[in-house]
Amino acid sequence: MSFSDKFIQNFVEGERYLYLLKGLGNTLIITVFALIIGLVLGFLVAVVRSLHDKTGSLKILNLICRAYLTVWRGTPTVVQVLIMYYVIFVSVNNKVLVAVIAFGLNSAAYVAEIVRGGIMAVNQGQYEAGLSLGADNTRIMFEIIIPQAMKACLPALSNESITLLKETSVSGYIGLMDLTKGADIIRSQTYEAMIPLLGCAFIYLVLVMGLTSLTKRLEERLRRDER
Amino acid sequence: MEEKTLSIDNMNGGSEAGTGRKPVITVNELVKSFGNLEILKGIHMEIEEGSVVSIIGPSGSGKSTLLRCLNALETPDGGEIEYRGQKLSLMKDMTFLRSNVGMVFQHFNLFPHMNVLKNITWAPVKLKKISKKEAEADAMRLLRQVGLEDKVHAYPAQLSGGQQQRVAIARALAMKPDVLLLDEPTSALDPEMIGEVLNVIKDLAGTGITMAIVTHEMHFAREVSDTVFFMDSGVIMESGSPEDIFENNDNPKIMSFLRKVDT
Repeated sequence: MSFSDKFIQNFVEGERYLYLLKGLGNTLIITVFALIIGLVLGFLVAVVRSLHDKTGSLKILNLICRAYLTVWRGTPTVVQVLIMYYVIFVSVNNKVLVAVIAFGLNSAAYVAEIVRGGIMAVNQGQYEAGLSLGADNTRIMFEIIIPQAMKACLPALSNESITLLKETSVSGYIGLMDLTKGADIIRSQTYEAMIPLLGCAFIYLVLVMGLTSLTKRLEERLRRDER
Repeated sequence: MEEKTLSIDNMNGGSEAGTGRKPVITVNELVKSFGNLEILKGIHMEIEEGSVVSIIGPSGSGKSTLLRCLNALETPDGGEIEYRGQKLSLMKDMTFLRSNVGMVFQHFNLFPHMNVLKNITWAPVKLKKISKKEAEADAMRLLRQVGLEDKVHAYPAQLSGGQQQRVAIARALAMKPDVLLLDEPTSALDPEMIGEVLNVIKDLAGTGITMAIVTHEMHFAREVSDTVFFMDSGVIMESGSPEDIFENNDNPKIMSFLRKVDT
């Protein structure tokens, strides 16, 4: 069979491209919403941890955050997804929703440490300048420190979003048809591994390249402010 | 004619005796350590309303630490500081004190993600709830005062050190502080930029604002100060008028210090 015959067999016959298309849709939905959860929750955890480090306040919240970071960064993503689906959300049938929560919580743990690193990298003098004008800790954190920290940790956050996108490929463990699972279904129907798997890899690659150029443009825009 | 003579007499009497004006800041028995290192070992000091005081002395003598205690950037280990009769140790929240006691830092600490205008208006708009329009008009007036009205939309990274420090002074003044603290305002500057910053501070001294300046610029301290404090090893070794410290002085430590810096 020629390449084009194989291509037609794997993607066109029986409208098999729909597996990839639906899978891609799920992959994107999971990535986008998990990223939103990850960024928001990660930021909050980072702020709690940093305010605690700077001022000694928020003791209990800080303890909760540290426990969360230890557990979520100390266990494999696949295991977290399985536990979420089979143990915690056992009565929830919406697999995409469970995946969004599982990947969101996982990503937030990494985002939190990235943002905390960015916050620590901002000069202590910035914090003191805010204090000396009469601002309180929370306002300084959100209006002075975090905008600067963002710039410092944007490359790492962009990296984290790429990792998240690729990590969603384990969604198949809970029987969710994401991009990877879609390609694997085609493989199981046509007994042809190369074409669907390479096709799936190619789509991930394009997505990652798009994400990279997007964050690059964002970085440039943030940097332009200071020149 | 008579009125004029009277008021001059009053002023002379006031500054000589040092009791004619109300103290804005009073420091008593102030002690501060960092770990095992005792930086301040019982400081007494009074800053009178409308006066300009300089704190001079060798490196490591505690000048900056003392200044930073005055707006609670450092928490004392002992003793008491009062701002207009209110004890700092009893204040629950330092934001009121700090919005009244402005500070200019050695390294400027301008906000790099805001332009000059935003740097100056941020605190008045966000903390004093002054309208943006009013705050911007105020900022323009302050920028004219420090000679930088053409830099209103520049970002800190586009300015020289001297320009950044002048913006930092404008930013502190925008809160209309009761007292302005300046922590070695020219120590991080290239030599050719020191003059422009000192001139701004000199002009400011003429406006009647209360100022405390930690500085290594002895000519400047002598010219601008009402009172000079000489610190050494965590205590105020001597204080008095610039003449008392710089001329009519026989303290060997002070004389040796002045010889070293006055070359």
